[in-house]
Amino acid sequence: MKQVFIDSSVLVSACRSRTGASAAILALCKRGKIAGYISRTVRRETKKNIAALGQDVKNRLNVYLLQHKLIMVSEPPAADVVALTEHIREKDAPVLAAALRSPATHLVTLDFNDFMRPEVRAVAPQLIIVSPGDFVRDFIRSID
Amino acid sequence: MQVMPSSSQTEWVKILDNGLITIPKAMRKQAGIKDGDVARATLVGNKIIIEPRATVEEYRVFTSEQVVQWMQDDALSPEEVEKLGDLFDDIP
Repeated sequence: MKQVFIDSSVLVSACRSRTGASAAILALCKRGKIAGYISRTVRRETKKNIAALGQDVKNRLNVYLLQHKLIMVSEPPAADVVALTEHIREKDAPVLAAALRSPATHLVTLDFNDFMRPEVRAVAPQLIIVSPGDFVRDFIRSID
Repeated sequence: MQVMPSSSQTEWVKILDNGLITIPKAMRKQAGIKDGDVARATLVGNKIIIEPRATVEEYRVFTSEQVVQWMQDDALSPEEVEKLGDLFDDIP
């Protein structure tokens, strides 16, 4: 089973659209097809970014958090986060550090500009950093 | 070196080997710095500002433009949705 760390951008998108690739990833987690990991930073960041949206969006996040078998990983040591700030923006570092500390083999994100730079991939060689769309298309090919 | 964590507290501290200093206990307590924490040192002119991580930790705030772009990037074709079957039934 693939182990996937889910970035806040994916959770936000899955909250806003129930038919996109991000929502499909959350559904795959619920069905036990993949193992989905998040961190407290991801959860807080997502809540903050949907705070101004409607109750239906917030309810969807609560369902994801409570029913979709997401695994909360420990916060990474501060030293890990600080070290990564040499390679990625300070605000992105806690997410990348948590993904690196988790058992995840994949990091799914829509934040292409920050997470898919060659410099970031170089410091996270154990992580396959992909968009939700590419991840889902790969899943579809595997079941075809 | 003069440590000035706020306008109301100033103390002189001695610089030891390799620049090692002890931040006065009262200042550590007020700033929320605990043993083992990582703090950020910033050089501003000839002053060094030491900030506990909690005060520099920030979260991303996504813009409307970013989210609109993500929704486009996140879209699946009707054929892809069909191949996923009833998967979306699990989404509230």
